[in-house]
Amino acid sequence: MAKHACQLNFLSRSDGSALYSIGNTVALASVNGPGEVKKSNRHYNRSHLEVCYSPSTGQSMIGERTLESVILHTVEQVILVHLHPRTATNVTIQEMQSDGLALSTSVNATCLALLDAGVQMKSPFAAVTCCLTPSGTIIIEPTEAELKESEALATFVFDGQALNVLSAHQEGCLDSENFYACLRKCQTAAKDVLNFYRRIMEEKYSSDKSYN
Amino acid sequence: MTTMDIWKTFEPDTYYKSFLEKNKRPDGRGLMSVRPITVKVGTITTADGSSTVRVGHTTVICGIKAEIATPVLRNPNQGFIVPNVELYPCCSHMFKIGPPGEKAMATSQFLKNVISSAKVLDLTDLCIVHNKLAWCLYCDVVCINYDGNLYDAALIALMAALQNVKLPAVSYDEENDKASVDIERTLPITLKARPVASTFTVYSDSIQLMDPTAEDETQGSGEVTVVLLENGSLCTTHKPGGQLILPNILDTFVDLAKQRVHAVNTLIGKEINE
Repeated sequence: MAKHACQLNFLSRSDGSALYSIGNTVALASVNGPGEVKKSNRHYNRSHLEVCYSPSTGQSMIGERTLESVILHTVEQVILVHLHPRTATNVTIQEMQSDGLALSTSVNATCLALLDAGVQMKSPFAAVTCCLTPSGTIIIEPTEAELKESEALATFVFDGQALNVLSAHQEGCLDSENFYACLRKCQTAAKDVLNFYRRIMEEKYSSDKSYN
Repeated sequence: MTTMDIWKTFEPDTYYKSFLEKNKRPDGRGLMSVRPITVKVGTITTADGSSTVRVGHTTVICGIKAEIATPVLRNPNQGFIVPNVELYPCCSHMFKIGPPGEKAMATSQFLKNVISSAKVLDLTDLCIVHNKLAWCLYCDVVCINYDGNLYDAALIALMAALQNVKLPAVSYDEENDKASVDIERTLPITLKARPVASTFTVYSDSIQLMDPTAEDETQGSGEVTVVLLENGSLCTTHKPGGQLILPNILDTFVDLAKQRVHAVNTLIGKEINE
């Protein structure tokens, strides 16, 4: 597994932010809300959620928009949106450095930024990417070079309670046997990611004097 | 307005739930039964390949326009295939005027992903002259009427239209660097795989609905799409967020999808041969 690192409260002005890296992929997520909402987006029974992903260079294209939509639908399921009717929650993700793991890094950054902002959630969530090499081995958290060589890549997002699948994104062909093998490997890796979250949060609350 | 309509307008959630309790859906289907599919090919005469597909009330038209382009330096012996999905406000009140929305973009990306994952086309087949000329297939999928399950309908339409494509023969004169197109002589393109998508809406842990309508999609929480090849093997699983699913449910989905693959591919095959 690649090395995970995280710095909470990286931005001083947002409600919650996290700089997260897996290997050489780095993403910065910032969360604002629940707060003011545009009239057209106002829902009577829940908070409106917006996700914006900006790449490090150039404009956001169709690939980035797909990423946004995967993250949006994942987060929407986990946040207790019904607690804050007639509000909006904004998640902004900035790609800092790219090495093939954009989706899993941004999802994990979003989760920690939400935890940092203190947004109520059902459970945390963790994303793990893996790829299948032509020889049939599964690599967890591959690098860009390894991804180019691989047959297929799959990203799974798991919830923190029972490690059920929240979302699955896949590129390339995986038969059911390989699919389940990938799923199980990622599930095991997700446990480590969730333990890493716990450590980061423990550090946050033990170092912050106002909580003691 | 009948009492049922009033109920549906004021209490959409309980209205819908009362059907599910009886293992039915408001349109009379069971939870795992699918809507009838009709496929017509060659519906747009000015396009190089086209199809119209109806899945229940969802109507999708796909037109493929072939253009001659220059291959990129990175892959000098490959052509291009560019799927694009358009959702205009005329097909449903859910969609607004303006640049393509989230749903349209997600579907375009899904089609692109399936084509490359399943290796539907060998892109080198689209190359005419190495490093000089290659076909670029613009596949425009337009939704005429939206009633849920766009993924399945769009993929059926795209596959049917691709099988309908007839590319004119191109001869290239190397000395003068000129290409001439012979419209009289046309050739179909060979497809390596014929994937079929099956979408399920997850309503709760124990209730899943196959081939969802627009109402099912709004009431349920998230879709799961499994794409199978014609031999019934799993090609791609697509689950953009939504309700949690247990891994073993996927097996049930794949089993149900297998029957659909055969039905859809025979339907397209029959229409192509006519």
